[in-house]
Amino acid sequence: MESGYRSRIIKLFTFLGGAYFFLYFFLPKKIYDFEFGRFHIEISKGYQTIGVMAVGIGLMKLLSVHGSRIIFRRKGAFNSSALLVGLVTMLLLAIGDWLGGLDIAKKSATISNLADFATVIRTDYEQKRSDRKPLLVRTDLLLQSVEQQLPEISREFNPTELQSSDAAAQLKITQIRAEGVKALSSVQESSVGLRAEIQKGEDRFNLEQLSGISAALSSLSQARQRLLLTSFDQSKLKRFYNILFQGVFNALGAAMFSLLGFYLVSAAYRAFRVRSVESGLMMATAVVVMLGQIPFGLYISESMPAIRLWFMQIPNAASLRAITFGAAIAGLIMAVRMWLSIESRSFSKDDKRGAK
Amino acid sequence: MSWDLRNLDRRIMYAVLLLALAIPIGYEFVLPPTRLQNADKMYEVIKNLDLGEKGVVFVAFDWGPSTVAENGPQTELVIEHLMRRRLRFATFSQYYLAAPLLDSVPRKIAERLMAEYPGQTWEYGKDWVNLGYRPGDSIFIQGIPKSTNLAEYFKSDANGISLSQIPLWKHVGGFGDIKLLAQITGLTNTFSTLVQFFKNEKHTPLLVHGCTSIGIPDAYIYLDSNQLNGLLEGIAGAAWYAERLKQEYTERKPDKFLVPFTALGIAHLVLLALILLGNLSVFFGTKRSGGVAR
Repeated sequence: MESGYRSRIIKLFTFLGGAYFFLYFFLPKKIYDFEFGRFHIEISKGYQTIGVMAVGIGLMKLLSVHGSRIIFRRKGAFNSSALLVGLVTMLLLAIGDWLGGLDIAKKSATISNLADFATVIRTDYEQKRSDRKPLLVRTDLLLQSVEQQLPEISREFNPTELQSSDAAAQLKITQIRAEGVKALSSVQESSVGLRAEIQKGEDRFNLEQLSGISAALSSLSQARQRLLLTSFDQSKLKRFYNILFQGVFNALGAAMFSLLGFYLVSAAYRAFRVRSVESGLMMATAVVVMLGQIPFGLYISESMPAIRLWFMQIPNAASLRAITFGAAIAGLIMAVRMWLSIESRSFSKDDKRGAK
Repeated sequence: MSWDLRNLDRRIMYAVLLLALAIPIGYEFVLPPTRLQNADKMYEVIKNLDLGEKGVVFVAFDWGPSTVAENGPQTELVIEHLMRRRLRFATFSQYYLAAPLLDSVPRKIAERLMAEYPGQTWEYGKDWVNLGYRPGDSIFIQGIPKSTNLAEYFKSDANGISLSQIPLWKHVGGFGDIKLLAQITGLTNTFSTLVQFFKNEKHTPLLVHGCTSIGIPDAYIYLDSNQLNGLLEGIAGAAWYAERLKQEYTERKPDKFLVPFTALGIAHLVLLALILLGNLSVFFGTKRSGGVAR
């Protein structure tokens, strides 16, 4: 009884999910005042969350299968421990990399938010918005926030703060630092100017000063972000991450894929035999297509690329279009079967027809 | 080890192929690439692109380390062309392994160009934005054409900075402002997802695509229907694109990937020779054994 209830819930959600995405794609964005995809971002996030759960399940399964193999010292325990060490190391480094990036974003956002605030103060004043605090009060608040931030940023741009043993990185740091110091003094000058405007009062306030400090703060924010990113690139964590990802993983991935070339040669030697008219045609086409895209083809005939193009555009496109249409129709039928839960019989024990 | 041609030991074939690849790479031997019409088309699309004040190019890096040999040069060339033309672009990916590349590839090209043109700068936030890895496959892609405010849909860049604070994004509005989508991939499904869903009833951005050699036949059906406006066919397509860039920007330094490209061309010849040898061995072997093929 209970399992039948669960089965119905799964079928209902499958149907509703399928119906939603089907309608979202086909319906216009607005039907009179009704907006069908109003919560699409939230629904998409839900879909992604379910996908993320699969990662968690995969992680647990890996830990249980390989962990038990290591604990009970079964066959392949060494390989399993290599896998788990790799997994944990990369996971920790990736989390560290992510947190480092978030920290930089947070720090950069502080200054760029102030730049935006300066622009907003001016816009609101020009639009005579009565629901906002007076111009002088808001400008004063802006200056207080800027003055709070400046000591920390000045420290970051201090030449003794960040050094790199890598000459290229050090040159980059020096350049960014010079830009940062320039932007910093520009912000300080604009702050002094704005203080003077506050003294003059609202009637004689020069709004251009707000635009000036906004531009100076934007430049400072960018320089700070670049400095922080460069500094993070020089950190041990990022270097280790780069060694593992670019030095090891990239190289291994490319090596694995390139092995296909060797298997291909061996397979082609044994299997590419002209035993019939059809295989002869296939062989001739393969030769032309290969020669048509390598430099040596031109030494045989200048028309080789054009002949290759004809093969690709006419016979190849025609046959592949037929295959694609066939696969699409089969996919559609499969999708409908899954949508209506015809394909999945094993949601519950009761539904396992024929299961013993 | 068997030297019988009808049943040649695979280790001999591997050794021959290894030499065919290693010798040209060792001697840095480079041959001029073959002209590929579809790479020309792609070049012309980017060359003639006008973004206006609000337009932006989207570049999808849907590839990972396994296909770096082909997709790497393709992506670098597209990014380089966009940067040389000062066309604003945003990078994103549907493939998680591409996430680190979204940041490193444009930075590398920007540094190379800044060294080539002292005094000129290409900056993150002004010239390009990294939107990061975006999960959700077709569900995520379907939402982009429905968006009238891309800053609201994407919210932030890969570093978590709000798009409204990024100078490049200040003028970008909705989907209509995406003038071109360039997708480079070694995967099969991501490209068809973009062809199907990256458009709406009012606007279809130009679409150019770079694929690995395995994916070339699939892409031709979209070229024929004009859904695809240009194609980089594996490393050969990238080689011709590099040649076009060199013709226009004469001071440009030669590309390193042309060495493995030439080596691959020689490997193709070796493959053809081995296929011919295999067939001849069967032909003569059959004659000798009285018509029984092995």
